[in-house]
Formats: sequence, structure tokens, C-alpha cells
Amino acid sequence: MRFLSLIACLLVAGCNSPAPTTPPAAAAPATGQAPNSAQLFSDYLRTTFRQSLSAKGEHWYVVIPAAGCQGCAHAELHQLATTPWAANVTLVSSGLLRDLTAAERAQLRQRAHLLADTSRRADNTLDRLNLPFASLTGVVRTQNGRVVEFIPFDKNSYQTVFEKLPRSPR
Amino acid sequence: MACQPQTVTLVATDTLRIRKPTDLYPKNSCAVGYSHDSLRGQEHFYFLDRTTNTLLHTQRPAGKPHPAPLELQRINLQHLFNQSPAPIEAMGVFSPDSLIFVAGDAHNLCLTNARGVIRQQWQPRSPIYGREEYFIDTALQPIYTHGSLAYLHCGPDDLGMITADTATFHRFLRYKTGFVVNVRDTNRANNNTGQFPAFLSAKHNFGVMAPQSCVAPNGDYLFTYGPFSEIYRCSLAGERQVVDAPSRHHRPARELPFALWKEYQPLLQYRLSEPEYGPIIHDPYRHRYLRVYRHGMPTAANQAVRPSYADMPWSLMILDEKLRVVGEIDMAPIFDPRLVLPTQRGVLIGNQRPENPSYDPHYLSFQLFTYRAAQGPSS
Repeated sequence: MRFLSLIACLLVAGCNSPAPTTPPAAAAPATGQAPNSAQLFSDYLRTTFRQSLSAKGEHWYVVIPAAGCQGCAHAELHQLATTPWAANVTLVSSGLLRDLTAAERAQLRQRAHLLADTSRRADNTLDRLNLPFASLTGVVRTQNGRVVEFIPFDKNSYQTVFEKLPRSPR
Repeated sequence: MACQPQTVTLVATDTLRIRKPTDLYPKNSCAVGYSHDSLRGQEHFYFLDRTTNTLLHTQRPAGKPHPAPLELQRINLQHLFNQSPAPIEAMGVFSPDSLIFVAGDAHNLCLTNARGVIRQQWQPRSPIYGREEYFIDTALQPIYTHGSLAYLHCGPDDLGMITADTATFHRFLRYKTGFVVNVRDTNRANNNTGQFPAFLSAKHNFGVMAPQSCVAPNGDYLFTYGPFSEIYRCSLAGERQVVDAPSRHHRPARELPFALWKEYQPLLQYRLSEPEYGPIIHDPYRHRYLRVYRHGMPTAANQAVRPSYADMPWSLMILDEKLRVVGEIDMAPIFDPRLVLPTQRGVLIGNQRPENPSYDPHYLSFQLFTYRAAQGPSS
């Protein structure tokens, strides 16, 4: 992969970072404090998409913002578009979706439930959310409406992490 | 007794609107070009769409009001570098009908007319750095032109591994930052004409940005590093000079530990919270320099939802020919420090950016500023 510039170092750094480890499960929201990551993500879904965390069983939210390594994120989106995912997998993404062709977007919508944070042309809320993902991309696993795990991934580890996601039985 | 420089400010006058494809927004000066045709009295604007390798070109009569939006003409450039899908790295403008493009991955340069017809294509003699691989990298800055010379950045091919280990990083410090080619000398358009100092230095290694640079009227190369106020002046003959030109808002940036370069979160937080000197731009029509200073937002790192870069306060410094600061204007965040373009009529600054909710994707919009002598001291 070619790296075009050294604004660069931002892109470069993320693209070469080692596979991250899974952080401990998020704790319950602390009262009277700034929202923790679980509360932050829950609030984000509610305010941006008017959705609550899925209350039934396990749910997987794949988070791919437009900040960070764009080339890596494109590869991750393409991978997601090639596999039919189970109904309890949701992709949350932002401006990168505009970079896909119409056919790719349609395919992505067929394969996974998609939440598109694209109200602005750049720097949508998802791109600025301080979730515990070193490379800004990751999976939020929830159980009965509560966040139980944040699983970060980057270009080296996304395929391994995607292996964990439930697939459609079709 | 030394002569005190006249303090200068900028005054908003006209606006310029250009109808554009919705997906196009030139985020960096490598994709913006301007040329003034004094014979025909026309201004030419060029935009490089790096996602489709397309040149968008328009012109307007110089010096006359032109309230209607300008229309862009599309010119496909995919033929320049053998249909390579890689984005064209950058563009430079010698004259209204003479442009230069660089393809970083192909190590190629291409000289064309304004319709994209190839006049000359060549590959700088390699390797520039002995046996090391390299690629041409403009660091999202334009290809600067001076007479028949084109100034380019370059770096090693394994730039992507800069953060992989400290040995690679320190090896990287030895590389030169750029080189100069003479487009009239088509047989030996290589790095023999000039070469510039190391891209990073031990002193500057926590500037996460590439050096910002421009070319002086005499062909000297000026460059700056991230949060540092010094401007380094380097002549083609190898002479060096350092001038300190701090912003009146200057504050030292904290160091970013090398280990954190590997992660996006701390890098983003660093870039949002710390101050940084942005582009330095030569204004050939008024014989001045413009220098962007981003003030940083110290509390950005602690916020659950980070602010946008478009929220960051910034100021535009005005420097005279001797690089003395003669003015500094605090700019509203609506203005885009990435789009500062000196033109024959004044300085154009983008005043609609995609981060703003009111952004209209159908137009590029600029505010025109003209210089005016200020009443009081600049700082």
C-alpha cells in the first residue's frame, strides 16, 4: 500500500500498528461522571439513529468511521460486503460509504444491517467518538441491551475479528 | 537604525463561487493551482480530483466582478501515467497552459498543457539515495514552480514502516526532504539541480506533520516543522538561514512519545489539542508570505466526542520579504486554512468546508481578502 503524504504519519501509523488486544469489558455507566465508553456508544445510537442497544440477546456493532486509515477501512468495508451476516450484526459507518460504488453500497445493505452516519460531508459524530479503539475501528458486543465488550481491530486483525461475527444461515 | 516594517491586515471584499462535482473538495494545496495570464487578462483556477485523476479547470476575466458561479471543465488525466489507478500525487502550474503532475508510485513526472496533452514525461534518475528505494511524495503540498524548475518532496518507499521500529525511524531521519528538477533539461531531469535537508531531525521528531514549505522569489526553498516557529531558508547553492517568525498566539507543543505514533487515538488527540504551524505560502503579487497558525484546542483530548478540526481557531500571519511578521489576523473557523490561495486580485480563502453543517456540496466558495496597512502594531 502506498502512503501519500505525511499528514501522513497519521495514516502511516495506523496502517502499521500491531494487532490490538481485546480490552476488558466496559463497566456499567458511572453516575454523575462523563459518560464511559458503553454509555457513550449507547447515547450515540440513541441521538444519531434513535435506536437503543438491542435488548434481545447478543448483538454485534461493527464500527468503521471515516477517520483513521482510509485504505484499511475500505478493505474492511469490502470484506463486510462479501459475506451475508446474521440479523444481529449491525455496521455503523460514516463518510466512507460515499466512496463505495452504488452497487457496493447496495450489496452492503443486503449483507448487513447498516447505520449510516452521513448527515455531514465530513467529521460526522462517529468520526469524533472517543471509543476505546486504538485504530478507531472495532466491534461493540452487547448482551441484552448492555455493552459487554469492545473488540478493536485494524488492518492486520480485522479478518480475525470478523470471523467471530455470526453469519446468516442462508 | 533598522527600518520598522509596516504592519498589514487583510480586509474581506469579494466572494468567488465555482460550481463543482459534489464529491470534490480540495483538502490540500497539492490539488489546487492558480495562474494569472497577464496578456489576456485572465485568471485560471485548477483543481485536481485525486479520486478520479481528473483535472478541473476554469478561468475568469481578471479584475472584473463576476457574480455568477464559474463552471469547471473536466479533463481526464488517467492517460498520464499509463492508466494507473493510484491517485496523482500533486499538481504544479508553470503557466496557464503548462502544468506538471507527479505520480508517486510510478516515480514519474508529466508535463502537460491545460487540456492534459502530454508534452514531456520522464523519470528522475534513480536512485536518489544510493541503493535505497524512494518515492516522490509532495506531503500534500503543490509542486512549486520557479522559472523552469519544479520543487518536489520525496521520501523512502518504506515510509509506511516509519513507526514500525526506532531503527527505521532513525534511518529515516537521514533522508533528504526534496529535490528540484529542471523541466527544460529533459535528458537529465533529476536531483542534480538541488537537494534539501533532512525531512525530520532529532529536534523536530515530535512534529507529526511533514514539513510545510514554499519557494521564495529567488528560488530559495523555505520550510517549517509542525509546532516550531522557525522558518528554514535553504538556497540551491546550499546556504542555510534560520528565521524565527512566531505567532502572537505561539505556545510550545508538548512532546508526543514515539510509542504513541503507532495509535490513531493519541495522534488525533495530539493534533487537535496541540498548536501547529500550517502551510507557508508565498504571495508573488504582493511580495509577502502567508503562514497559517492553528492554535490547538487543549481540552479536546478529554471530550467524549472530539471537536472537529473545523472547530479549531487559527490565524493567518503576514510576513514581509525578510520573513518578519507584519500582521496576524484571527480567522473564524468557517474559513479553511487548507485553502489559502494568493491571486492577482488578492488572497482567496475557502469559506465553506465539508465539516460545516451548512456546507453546499455543489459549490466551492472563497472569500477574497485584500491587504491594507494597519493602524497599530501587528502584535
